Order: sequence, then C-alpha cells, then structure tokens
Amino acid sequence: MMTPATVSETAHPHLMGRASRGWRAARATGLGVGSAFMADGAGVVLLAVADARSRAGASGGYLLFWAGLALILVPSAAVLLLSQRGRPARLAVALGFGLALYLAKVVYEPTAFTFHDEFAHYRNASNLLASGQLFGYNPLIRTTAYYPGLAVATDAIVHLTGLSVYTCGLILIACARLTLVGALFLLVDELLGSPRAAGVAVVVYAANPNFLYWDAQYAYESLALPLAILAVFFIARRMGQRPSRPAILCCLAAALAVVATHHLTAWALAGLLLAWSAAGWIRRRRSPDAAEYIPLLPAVVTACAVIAWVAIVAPITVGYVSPVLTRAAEQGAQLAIEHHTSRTLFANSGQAATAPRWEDMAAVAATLLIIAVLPIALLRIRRTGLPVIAKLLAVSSLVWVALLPLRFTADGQETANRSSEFVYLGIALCFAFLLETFLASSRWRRMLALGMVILLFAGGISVSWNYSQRLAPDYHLVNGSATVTPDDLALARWMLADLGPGHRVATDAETGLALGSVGRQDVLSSAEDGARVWQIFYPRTVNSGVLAEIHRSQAQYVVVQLDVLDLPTGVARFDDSEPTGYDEAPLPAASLSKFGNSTAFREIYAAGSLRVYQVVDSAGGQ
Amino acid sequence: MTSRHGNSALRAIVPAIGLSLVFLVLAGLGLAALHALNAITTALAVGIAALAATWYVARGIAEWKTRLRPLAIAGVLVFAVASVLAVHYSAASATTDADGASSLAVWAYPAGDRLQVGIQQPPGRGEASLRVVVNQDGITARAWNDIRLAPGQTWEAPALTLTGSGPVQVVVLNAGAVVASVSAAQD
Repeated sequence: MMTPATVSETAHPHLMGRASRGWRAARATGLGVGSAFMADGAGVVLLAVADARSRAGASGGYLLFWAGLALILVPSAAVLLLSQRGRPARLAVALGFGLALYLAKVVYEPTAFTFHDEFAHYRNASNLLASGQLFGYNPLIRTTAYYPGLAVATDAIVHLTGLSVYTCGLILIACARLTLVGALFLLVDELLGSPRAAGVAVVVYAANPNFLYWDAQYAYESLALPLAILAVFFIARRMGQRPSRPAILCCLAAALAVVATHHLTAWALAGLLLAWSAAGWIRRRRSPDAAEYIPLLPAVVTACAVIAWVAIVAPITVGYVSPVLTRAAEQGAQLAIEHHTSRTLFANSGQAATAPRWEDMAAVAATLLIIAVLPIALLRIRRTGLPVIAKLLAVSSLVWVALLPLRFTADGQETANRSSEFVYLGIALCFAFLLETFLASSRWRRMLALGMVILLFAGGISVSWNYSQRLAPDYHLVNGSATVTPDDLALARWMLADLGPGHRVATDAETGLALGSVGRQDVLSSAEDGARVWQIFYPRTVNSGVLAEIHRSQAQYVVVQLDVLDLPTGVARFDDSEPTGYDEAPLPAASLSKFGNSTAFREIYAAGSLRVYQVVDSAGGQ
Repeated sequence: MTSRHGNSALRAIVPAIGLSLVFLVLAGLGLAALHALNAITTALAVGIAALAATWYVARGIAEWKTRLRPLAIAGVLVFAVASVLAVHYSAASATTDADGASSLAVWAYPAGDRLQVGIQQPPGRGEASLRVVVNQDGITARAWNDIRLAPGQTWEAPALTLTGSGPVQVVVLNAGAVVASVSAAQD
C-alpha cells in the first residue's frame, strides 16, 4: 500500500521522487512477501499431492516431495537472504516459511496421529479429559504423563471449542511452530541487530533434521522448545542491558511452563540460564564497567523448578533418560578408545528402501559445511562485543561437533540426532553471523550464501526421517505390524466402547500404540511395567511359561496381529526390549494360532489380520 | 517489552502467541490440579489470555495499518486457501486409503450369562447384505438373515442366552461365503 504523501511532499519535485521511490519499495516489499507466501502455498499443495500419490501406491511422490520443499524454501530464503526488505516483511516471510514446513507434517496424515510419541501424548490428553486427574497412567511412555503441559493445554482447547483432541493438538502445535520461528527470528535480530541475519538463522535452523517432522509432531518437546526460546528472547538484549521487569516476569512464566512440559528442554534451558549467569558474572569481574545483564533470578528459579519437579513430581524421568545417555556414553567411549563402530552410516535395517545416493552426499556435504563454518564463525564472534548469551549460544554449537562421532554408534545415534533441535540454535546463530557479512557484499557471494543454506536444508531433510517413511504409507502395502492400521484403530475404538478402558492387553508394539491411546487400554510393555510380552507370544504352544507370564503380568486380553509373521528376522516383533535371539528365526504360525486352540483363551473379536482373545484361565501359570 | 526496534504489530504477534501458550499451560495446570478444568473455567482463562494478547498486539496497530501491502495480503490469502485445500485434499486421500484398507469386524463376547454379538461393515466397502449364524457344538443356535449394512455401519444382535457349555462359533456370510468368524469357547 502506498504511504500517503503530505502536501509539502507532493509540492516539491525532489520529495516527489522520494515518494515515488518509497512507493516502488513498498510495492516491491509487497511483491516479495506475497510471492514467498504464494510459493509456500504451492509447495504445501505439492507435498499433499506427493503424500496422496504415495498413499495410492503411485509413482512420482518423491519428486513432488522435493519440488514442494524447494517451492517453500527457495523463494522464502531468497527474500530472507537476498532482498532489501524491512524487518516486518522478513518476519512475515519467516513465519510463513515455518508454518508451511509444519503443514508438510499435517498433510502427511491429516486425519489422525501416526507418529509413535503422538500416541503416548494422545493418551495423556484422553486420560485428563476422561478423569480430570493429572498424571494418569500411560502405558506407552509413562514419563510423559508427569509432564502434563501439553495435555492440559490441549484439553483446555478441547473444552473451549468442542473439537477433537487431534484437531486441538494440530492447532496447538501450529501455534508452537509460529512461536518457535518468530521467537528465533526476534532473538537473533535482537542479538545481532540485523533482520537479515535473523532470516538466515531461521532458514538454517529449519535445516536441522528434526524440524520437518519430529518437532512438528504432537509431543511435549514440540511445545516446550518454542517456549524455551521465547523465554530467552524476553530477557536477551543487544548490548547486554538489563531487560524490563515485565520481560523478566514473562521469561519466568515461560520457563515454568517449560518445566511442566518437557524434561530435556527444561534442563537445557536451566543449563543455559545458569551458564549465562556465570559467564556474565565473569565478564563483569574482568571489566567492571561492562553493563552485562546477569539473569540470576530466571536461572535460579528455573533450576530450582527443574530440580523440584524431578524430585517431587517426576522422579521416573531419571530412569527414563539415564539409560539412553549411559548407552550413548558407553558406546562413545568404546568408539574413542577402541575405534569400534557399531553402526554404518546411511544403512537401512530390514527390507526398507534405501535413499538415493545424492541424498547421502547432500547430508555429508552439509555436515562438512557446518564443520568448516563453525570455527571461522566462532573465532570472529569471539572478537566481537556481542552479549554473553549470543556467544554462549554460538559456543553451544560445538556440542553438535562433539556428538557427531556418536552417529557411528548404534545407541549413541539417537542421542546425537535428538540433540539437533537444541544445538542447531547455536549453528543457526553462527551461520547468521557469518553470512550477514557475505550478504552485504558482492552478488556472487550472496548467491553462494543462498547455495549454502539450500545445501544445509537438503542435507538436513535427507537425514530427517527414514527414507521409506518420509511419505505417507500405502496401507494396502504396509505390513500391519509395521504401522498402526485402520483395523487397529477400529479395534481400539471398539474395545473402549464395548469393554471399557484400562484392561491389561498383551500385543505387538504397533497394535499396542492404537490400543494404548485411542483405546485407552493398559498395554503391556517391558519398559513401562516390566512385562515380558515375548514370553507370551514366541512359544508354539500354550505351555506353563506362557500362562505364567500371563498370570504374572495380569494380562486380561491377548491381541494377535497376524502380519507379525511377515516381519523379517533381526527385528523385534513384540517389544523393543525382547532379548536378542528371539528374532533370529522366522516366527512359526503356531506361535500366534495357539491361542485359538487353548481353552485358556476365548476368541472374542476378529477383523482382517487381527484376533482378540480374552484370557479365561491362567491358573496353569500359577 | 518494546525494544529499540519499536513494537510493530507483527513483532508483537509472536510474543502474544507464545504467552498465550504459556498462559494456557500454567492456567491449565492450576485448574487441573484443582480438578476444575472444564469449559467454563477454560473459557474464562482463555478469555483473559485473548484480551491480554489483543491488547499487546493492538499497541502496534497504527503501524500495522500503514504497512499493509495488498500484494503481501494477497499472498497470505493464497497461502491460506492453498493450505486449506491441501489439507482437505490430503484428508480425503487418507480417508479413502484407510477406508479401503479396513476389514469387516465381528465380535462375540460374554457379558454376564449372555453373549453379545455384533459386526461392523468397513467404511471403504459398499452396502452389504450379510447373514450371521451362531453355532454351538456345531449346531445352529441362532441366525439372522439379510442384515443390510451401509459402509461403516454397525449391527448388534439382541443379547443371546445360550444353554450348554459347548464351543460357540459366530460366522458371518456374504452371498453364502464365509467372510469372518469368531470361535468363542463357552464357559
């Protein structure tokens, strides 16, 4: 829209020229922002078509997927990196970019939650809706129940709108995504004083492997991480000045919400605030004239809240997180001392399709690019007078480098991958700082900068999600034991309606997700209640061992998914904790059909490859 | 919380959304702890949050008015429409695929001294005319003919009381062919 000119402006030829230039600039801004949004829309449509073709088993989905992502990335990155647009225009484009990438996850499955952790969080929201009680039992991931921030926020929207948990969850995570992208933009803009650098940071952060799907899923981290960045934004200032009291209060509120929502994010936030306080104190001691703000109050309050929450509300968290970290540390040490790798990069397990070679190359190239850029950026940042928090975030990118070798280990890989969404904040800041100078120089340098962020993004997407699962599954081709099928969900709804909630059910992992969430049944799991489900399923006959485990685990129903027979060897069939050896041979059909031949069980439900058996008598196992 | 960059409406929207989420979590926790998380209390809490957010954003509304660009608004509208269409198209595709992969379900379970029998036609199939037969000890105990079920429709038999303790089998037939069965041993 043209800015209205004043009378004096229109009277003077020189000022008329300025007004005309202003109008042209305004139109160019509108065109740039509008084009980026239109491209975002077109990209989302292409992603929807890609998923639809994948569901229908048609070809072309893969190309459409990348074309859709390119349509979202390139115009937005061009506006954010190359244009001369102002701050609001860049922020608008950044928000559109983040939202469009969130919609990539929505069109993947727009009718129900399908990612593993989403089922667990659905159960938390359902428990709270049904009982009004916090911390209800969650057989899928017990720990999640003790971080009810996501569930209470979802249920509040459900109560208010009458919409389903699924729809409210989508709305909530969409708001969280907007907060994440917006808060990151504003934070980097504040720290580096450049909206262009802020735009770079958003695009580079979106290249983290967990941005597209993992942190777009309905899960606690997807809500907590944006709030943590928001908390830091509230109190971060360009010259390290002290923020206002309302800003500190907002930071405290956001930090407390994080503590009640997600353990790792809360720990990371507390650690960052404590480190910020310590570094600020050191800087003040070295140069007493420095006006560096020390966020002691937010740091102490957050740290105390984290400790109190874990000690009083969620001591289960320690047992949940520590094995993962311990295994990663052990394998990391093994790698460092013995040079023993337990994982091959880009290798697929089972019979899953492998990604094209160019994706692997893009991932490696992106990794090398980060390794090359970080030292340069860190050295330059060290010499600047940037505030402590900016330097801390930049240094935190080294954690990514330190964890990189863990990708060569089977158990450490998860830790390395799951840290991406945190450490990419530092990587994004480093790239923003370095590329800002690039973008202010010659044309070829600007194009080089654009090429770099495109490479980072392509590399990040390549390792973001298993290639064979990156597009929506075709239920006609997918094995019922590898995904939650429509029959699983129908069974879950039937069990809840006809048998009621809270029955103890022995089944395979995927069917258990449907029954434990939509069905609100207490599925057995080794990790959550110590049940040894494999001892129920593997024997060929209903022997005393089967009955003993049923008796011990108090199973009331056994749900058999016959498609488990088709699973390849080397893959856990019923529980991630089942001992090695069980999965080395094909599963005999008798292992699953035995329940129908025993008087200890009564078949009560059949649909497709699913059979439900009620436990009539497990006395033989006493 | 204004900074040296001023407080444009767009800049204010981000903290407003974020603080609304924060408020939703903290207020929701408080209400849930008091067992008072319901429609009325939530409406009150969200109402307060919405007013605060509106006030926060409205502080930059003057700048908002002067900075609106028709082309940018057109782009945002196109994005919104394309997103709605994409999600709708994707939902239709996913529903069709899921419906097509659904199977006929049959159940038979005891409730007290009675047997509950039912079937559900999968959503992805056309209307069907089914026959349901309950056998005990190999002898037909009850049968229902010409049960017409629309896609996704459920049929439940009146609760059955069976005498004897022999094995019970419920068979569903379509045009004479068995399409599903449950072999429920009787107590």
